[in-house]
Amino acid sequence: MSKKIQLSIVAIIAIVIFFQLPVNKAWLDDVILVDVSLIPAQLDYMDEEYRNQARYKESYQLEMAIKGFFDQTPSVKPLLLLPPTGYFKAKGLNFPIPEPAIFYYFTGIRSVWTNSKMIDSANWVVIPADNQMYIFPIQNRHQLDSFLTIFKPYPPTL
Amino acid sequence: MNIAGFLFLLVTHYFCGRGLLYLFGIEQGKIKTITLSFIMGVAVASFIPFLLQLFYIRINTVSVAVAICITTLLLNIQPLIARKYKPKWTKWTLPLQLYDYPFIILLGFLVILSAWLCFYSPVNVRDTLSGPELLAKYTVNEQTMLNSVFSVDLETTNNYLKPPYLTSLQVVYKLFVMSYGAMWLPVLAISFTTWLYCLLRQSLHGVLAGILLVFFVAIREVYSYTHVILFDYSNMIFFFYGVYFLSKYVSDKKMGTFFFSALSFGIATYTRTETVVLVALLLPLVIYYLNKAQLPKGRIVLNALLFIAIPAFFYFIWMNVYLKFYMPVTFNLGQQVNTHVWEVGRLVDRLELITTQLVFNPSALVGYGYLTYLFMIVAIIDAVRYRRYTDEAKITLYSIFALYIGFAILGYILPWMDVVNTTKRALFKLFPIMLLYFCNSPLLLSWSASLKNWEIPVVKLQAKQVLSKTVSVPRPSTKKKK
Repeated sequence: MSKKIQLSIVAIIAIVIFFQLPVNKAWLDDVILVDVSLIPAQLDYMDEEYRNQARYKESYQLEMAIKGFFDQTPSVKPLLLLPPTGYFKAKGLNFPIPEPAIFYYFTGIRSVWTNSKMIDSANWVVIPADNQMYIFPIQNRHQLDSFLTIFKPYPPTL
Repeated sequence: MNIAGFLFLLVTHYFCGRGLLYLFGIEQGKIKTITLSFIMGVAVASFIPFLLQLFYIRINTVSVAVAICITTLLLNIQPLIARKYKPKWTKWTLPLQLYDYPFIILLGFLVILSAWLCFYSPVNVRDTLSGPELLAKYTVNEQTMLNSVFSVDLETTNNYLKPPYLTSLQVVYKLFVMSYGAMWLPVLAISFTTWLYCLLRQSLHGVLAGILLVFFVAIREVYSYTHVILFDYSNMIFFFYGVYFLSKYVSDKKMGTFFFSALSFGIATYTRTETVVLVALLLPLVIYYLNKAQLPKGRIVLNALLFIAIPAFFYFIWMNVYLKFYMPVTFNLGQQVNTHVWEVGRLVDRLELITTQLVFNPSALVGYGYLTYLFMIVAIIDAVRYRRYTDEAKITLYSIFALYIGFAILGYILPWMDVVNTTKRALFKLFPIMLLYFCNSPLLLSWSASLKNWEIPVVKLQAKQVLSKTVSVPRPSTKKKK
């Protein structure tokens, strides 16, 4: 047998041994092969909107729903008060609420968290209830304070 | 995906990078030249939207295309005038053998998979989404980097203060390729992996070179950042080139190589500003080799100053010009820095934390794989058994040591630089330098030589035979001269 063929067999054995090492095997099985197995399905779904939904999941759906709502009323310039993630969880909705910067990235809508310095200017709020989202205008300071009181037990976290 | 736009960028990246290599007189093998040209071309492109913004020029497809074309022309004008455009490639070509192909197929599979993931999935890292990607999206929409993002509540993030490298590249690729941007990263990853393969293959036997590169590419953390848009993979590449060309300068003594090293460190600083501290830690090494080259004292001081001034310039232009005079938000660096610098115990604690959490830890093994341990074993055997080092090996070992200490110093100076995220990714810079060390390791070189000898046995001529062959060459007789 030619020495080059022998060395090629050594190369293949080296690769096989490399991927038998525990950490490498886990990486190959849990990451690489999983990613490869997803490619045929991904090829069937090349639409950008689908890819966004697949990647960002529930948070993205929430953002798009809110964007859709305000797109219908373009004259409104909202500064939306986003409840903390903990409040959403308490209401049975187990996904993270985006920070204002990321919310703006997806929706183009300005928003604030409950601990923001800009909180006084918030003029809309999104409230989860019964697996639904409700978007309300905030009419006055009293209303804003009452929402903040509801959200107070849930400090916002990244 | 806009294929024409992507091809336009690839062509201009290549020519920008090639022009830059020509200007600095960098000569390498064909494949190394082509791949490094692409890498440097991406770096050049990353300055374009930022420079347009510095001059308050609207950032759109036309202005960016014109700026890219002008830059490409400017970088290639000297070789065009000198009619020396045909690159001076050294004659080394890739001598691929049958046993190289299993590694090439595996590595090719991994980098192509990474490119696919980068293409298919939108940006999903918080650090990018809440900073560079956010700015890039609204730069494309509003034609300025000083856009409506700054009217948003940014209290939860400081990622918009990160250097413009990522934002600019995302802008360029969003304008010319696709809405996710992103495709510049596969250009870097494929080029860098190929370049590293050439580097290893030049020094080591194909089987050793292949398996060592697999050790590097299969580092889970590093691999994931070949398709996750963030600063650290790019930072690793440009820092590595800084070290590599510094070691090349020591052997070729060309000032072009020296300044190309400084430029690479500059680009690394442009990707992550704190890199300038790590470059400063390499200064003793630079001064040592400048002194060893027997340069006049004045030249040594001047070159050492220029070596740090180039990265410092990139730091200055972002931190002291753009952030100060352009950004519509105030940024106080003093608030970010540790004011209790006399508490040196913290520095030791940080060093201990890095060692225990990022090196000798089961989770570190999962994240970083076996390369670090392999490096330690090889370095220890070299130190115990061989005890001889090339200048390149000394530079790599010093760089690894300086980086290791440097990460602790950075964590000590900048408390926001945590171990589990920032320092964890900063460690990437060590890995390609380890590969460079392997190219100089006496142990691996002797194994490599043994494999080569086994593969193609060299006929050992006795000293007498060699002498007789040498003597047989006719010499002019002294009598005739008389």
